[in-house]
Amino acid sequence: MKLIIKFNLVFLLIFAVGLTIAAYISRDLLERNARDEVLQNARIMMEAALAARTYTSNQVRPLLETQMKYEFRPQSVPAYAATEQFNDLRKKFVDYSYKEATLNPTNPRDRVNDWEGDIVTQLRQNPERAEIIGERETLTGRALYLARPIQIKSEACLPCHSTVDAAPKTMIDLYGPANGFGWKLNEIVGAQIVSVPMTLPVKRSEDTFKVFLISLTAVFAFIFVGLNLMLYYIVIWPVTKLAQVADQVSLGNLEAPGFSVKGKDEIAALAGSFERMRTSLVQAMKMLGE
Amino acid sequence: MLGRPGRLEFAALLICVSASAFGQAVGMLTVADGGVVLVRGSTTYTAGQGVALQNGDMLALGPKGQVQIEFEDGAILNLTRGSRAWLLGPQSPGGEIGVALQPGWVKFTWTKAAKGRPYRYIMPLASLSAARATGVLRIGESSAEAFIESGAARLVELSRTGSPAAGRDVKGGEFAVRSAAQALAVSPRPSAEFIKAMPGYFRDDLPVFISRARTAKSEPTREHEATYAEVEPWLKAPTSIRKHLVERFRSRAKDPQFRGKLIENLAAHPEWDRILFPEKYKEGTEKAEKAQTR
Repeated sequence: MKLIIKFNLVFLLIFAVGLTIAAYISRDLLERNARDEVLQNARIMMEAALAARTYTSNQVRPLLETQMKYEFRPQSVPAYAATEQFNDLRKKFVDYSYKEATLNPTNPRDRVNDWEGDIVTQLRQNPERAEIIGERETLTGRALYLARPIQIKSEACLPCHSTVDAAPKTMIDLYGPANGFGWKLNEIVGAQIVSVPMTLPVKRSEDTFKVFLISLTAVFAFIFVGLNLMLYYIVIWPVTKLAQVADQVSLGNLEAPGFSVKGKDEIAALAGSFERMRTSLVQAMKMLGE
Repeated sequence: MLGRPGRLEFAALLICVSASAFGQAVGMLTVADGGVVLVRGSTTYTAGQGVALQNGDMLALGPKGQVQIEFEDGAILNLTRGSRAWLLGPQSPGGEIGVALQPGWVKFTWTKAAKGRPYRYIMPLASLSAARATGVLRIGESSAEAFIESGAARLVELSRTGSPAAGRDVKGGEFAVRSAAQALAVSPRPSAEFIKAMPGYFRDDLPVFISRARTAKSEPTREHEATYAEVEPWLKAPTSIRKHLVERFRSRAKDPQFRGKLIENLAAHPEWDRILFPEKYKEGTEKAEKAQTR
């Protein structure tokens, strides 16, 4: 087997192993980064929703208290404010969603659907759990969701949600007496669920992965060609020439043209040594002839 | 029961209370939008923001105008949609402070620093007594509606002549209606029609402007002697309210136009007959005196 073939087989083997390991590590890293990015987006959105809730509770609600005596203003409800803020956001980012999914909500639009119900049930069964992170398939592709429990931690929530008699009359006028009552202090009544699409970040990570692999392969190919050329011109060609001269000398053609290699590397030293050996052989043969 | 001397002393006390109350600033006009007409004594003024108000002042505003009166004791009264107010002052020594009101919309409230003196808002068919309460009144020609936002109030039915009849306590969140065709009725919620018709800003707390208005204190601008039209609603008000107006506007009866209108509408205020036609009563008095002499 020729030296260049041996060399190339070893090189390709190393390349294949290196590429596989690099692909495995980078794909895992990119996927993790993409998921982390999506999760980070989800957390930012969750915090934005919480900020909207706090702002509404602390600043908007007191301003609307008098108005509420005449007509119920959903704008004073933190959950309503957070949802409306997100609905506005969704005009530009349609695949993002936020819902205060509640088992027994006052506003019917907050009622849980099947998969949200499962999340709320999990949170109710594990009250110590701060959040649930998961992925699910949607009509527009894979989405990551982040869910946090809605727990009744303040007695201030109870006037509107304990009994019909305690609730503001204007609220009953708007939503009726059937829903949103019977909540208890410290009970988990629902979950704040932020859903963020993964399609785009995943596609971006896949594109990055492809570019990385193609770039790595291109670098390998460039190195492969370069090394082959270097191997041929620096090692294989001079050695082949030396072998041809050695063959002719061994067959008795002592006048065969010499072979000289410029430089001070090992091949040049070998060529020099060979030439000295041939000169010695020619003189020895001449002395034998005399 | 008080004897004749006792009654005279009580009347003298009331006169003293009234005299001390009149002429003294009891509040300030802190909002005066859309032109405000002030009748003080028998003279008409135009008033703007920062004008100090006295007991006895009568305020009238245009249909799109708005007036806010902030009293020295912390009570606040906002009038709009053509309503009129007449500051009657204390109804008895240390008693309720009376404010007579004419058709329009009124919101009353109080500041946290209020002394909590009771006010009595007298409408054509009902009067509402409240201290440290907030509410909205819709006053019609022959109806009165009251929604108590917070606190508590007592609503008393009034007859056409202003005589009090049955009363009822109304608590925060309740709505009371009294009309010529309906006795006083209280419901747990205001009607949708009432809420829809109510001025939008009444849904919010009334802002307090008195400190700002004090820095921009102003005097009312004298316009002319009061015309009949300017005081007509009060001259035709229930007897219990208008009883002192004869003395107040006696001098105006000399004005031919005012006199003409008084005569024209004499049926609505017959007490003016004695002022307008004293000769009729002079004959009666002389006969009585002669009879006594005999």
